[in-house]
Amino acid sequence: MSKIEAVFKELKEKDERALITFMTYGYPSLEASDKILKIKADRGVDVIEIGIPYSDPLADGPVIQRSSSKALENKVTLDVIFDAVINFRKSYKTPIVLMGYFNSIRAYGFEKFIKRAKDADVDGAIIPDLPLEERDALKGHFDKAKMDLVTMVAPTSLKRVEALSKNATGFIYCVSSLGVTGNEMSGSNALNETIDKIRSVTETPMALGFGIKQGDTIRQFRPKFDGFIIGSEVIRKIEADKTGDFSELKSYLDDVKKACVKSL
Amino acid sequence: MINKSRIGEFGGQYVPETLMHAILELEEAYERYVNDPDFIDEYMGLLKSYSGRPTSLYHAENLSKSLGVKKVYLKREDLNHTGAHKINNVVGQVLLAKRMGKTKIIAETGAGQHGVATATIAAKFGMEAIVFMGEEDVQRQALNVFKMKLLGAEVVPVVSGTRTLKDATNEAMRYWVSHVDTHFYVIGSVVGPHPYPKMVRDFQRIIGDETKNQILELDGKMPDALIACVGGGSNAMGMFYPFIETDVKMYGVEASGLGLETIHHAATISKGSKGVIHGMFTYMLQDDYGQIIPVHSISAGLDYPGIGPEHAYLHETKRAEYVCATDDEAVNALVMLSQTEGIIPALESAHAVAYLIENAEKFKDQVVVVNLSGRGDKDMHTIMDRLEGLDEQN
Repeated sequence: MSKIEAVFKELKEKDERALITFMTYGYPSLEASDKILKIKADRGVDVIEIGIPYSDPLADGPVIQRSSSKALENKVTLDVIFDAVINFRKSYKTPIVLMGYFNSIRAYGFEKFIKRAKDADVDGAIIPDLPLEERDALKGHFDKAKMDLVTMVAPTSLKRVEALSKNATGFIYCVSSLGVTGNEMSGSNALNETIDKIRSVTETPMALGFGIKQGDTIRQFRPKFDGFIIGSEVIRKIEADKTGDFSELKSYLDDVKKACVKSL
Repeated sequence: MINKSRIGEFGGQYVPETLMHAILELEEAYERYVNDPDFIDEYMGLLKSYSGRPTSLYHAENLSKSLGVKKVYLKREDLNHTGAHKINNVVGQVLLAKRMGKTKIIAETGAGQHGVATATIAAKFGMEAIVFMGEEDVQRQALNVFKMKLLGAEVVPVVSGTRTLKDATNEAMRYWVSHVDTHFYVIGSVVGPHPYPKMVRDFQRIIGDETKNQILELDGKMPDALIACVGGGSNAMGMFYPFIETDVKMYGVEASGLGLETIHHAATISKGSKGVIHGMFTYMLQDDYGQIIPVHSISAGLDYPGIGPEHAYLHETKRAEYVCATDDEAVNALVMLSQTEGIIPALESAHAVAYLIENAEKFKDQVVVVNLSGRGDKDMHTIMDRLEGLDEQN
């Protein structure tokens, strides 16, 4: 069982849901990102997704695109991110998943990536432009290193659910609606069918993401999912900060954490 | 086991999971119709009656004499309806979309020719079209923007990134992800995830197929060389593909902009390396971290940091040679062709002519076919600015 799966198991025993939040490393600055990592861990975020900034993030909406551009201006690279994780790990054990586009990892080198990830105690990765059909080579490396290469499932995936869920480890990222990150979430019947199918095929925890903003949404979908992923809304809270204190982010995290911990 | 989404190591389907169902559906539909006689009849019929095919293979005697080249033929894709080869592919894809029951289409466009062709065929078939175009291209290809709107399409200027073709492609893909249930994405070149590169090549190969027949009729034998400009690579692939099994030499001309020694070019094969862009593993212009780097060409259609995977393969296997022409050389070529043969080429196509002009000595004993992928009306104000600028300097 991976560390991520262990975290989900522990939460399930308490009837809690996992809170998974995203951030683009290097937005608005490297120092701010280090601070935000700690804020998240302190506020009880269960898994932290660290975004690898990319020049052409085609699965992302304007909010994450903006954060990515700024982070690139701040010269963020994978090496910078690995160093940041090592630093974070001095005081925190929170599971970390890197989120980025395939070309970033390909350019870095699979073996080098796995080695540095293991050294930094990174638990896995989410690669939105790497579908089932293209995963094999990289998945082999991840499995060997006992890291989770997170499987993404979308409302359009109904016919592919078995193949997708089969070797899924860590958690399954259920994309809520048709769209890129930050879009308004649209309830989808196709998604319900897809979730039920996944449940019938695997025990791997399922987390819902894309377009989640309010605690109410978490409460609404609590019965069906083991965790909730918040990306763009977190970035919006960071964008809104003027003081470097991130108080809006802090109270937002408290809010959504509450929805994950209790159903009422 | 042969992976049908690849050619050699190139190609693949690097797209979000949300798109995979649509892509597999498209693959299935394409396999079903590509050899279907009714589909082929409808496709060929439209290209004939609506676009005016076959296009002429024109012996450019004046140009040949001027350059000291034995024989230069121009394949007149500029004579197609809408002024470029792009319509060959749009007709094919929209007929497929129709059979799949889609009534809304998405397109990306650089120079605007693919956008105009899409808007044209959408109008003809009563479909809704939304075209994404980089803001910089919207400015430099204003004539085409107006045309698309006149034809009833929605044109969305893209202001992210470098505001050119790669950014339009990003935005078109994002829009497709959000509308995948209702929309068909008509990609304009031999790029993107499988099956697009193959499908677009198959819809453009009419160029090379016709050329083969025409030249045998005119000359009794195969030409010595083919020259075509390469952005994503659809006109070149369409011309080259039917000749691959022959001995005919092939030259793909990329844009070297302000020069290969500068950062202002779009010479993907000459200066690029292997990586993943827009869903495909191919050659691309990237930095050491895999970030896509901004490119430049005076021609919007060649201003692209990637290249079709089949071109990457032809390069690796040395079946085709990838060379360059600069902005200046392209402009000179446009002027020369205009004044020598009375044909004004698109700036993109002018790159192919430019390579011939700059290397005429090499071709002196050869029969060369240059693919004239489009006409230059859309580029007139760029040329005006350029030439007026020169006048002022003098």
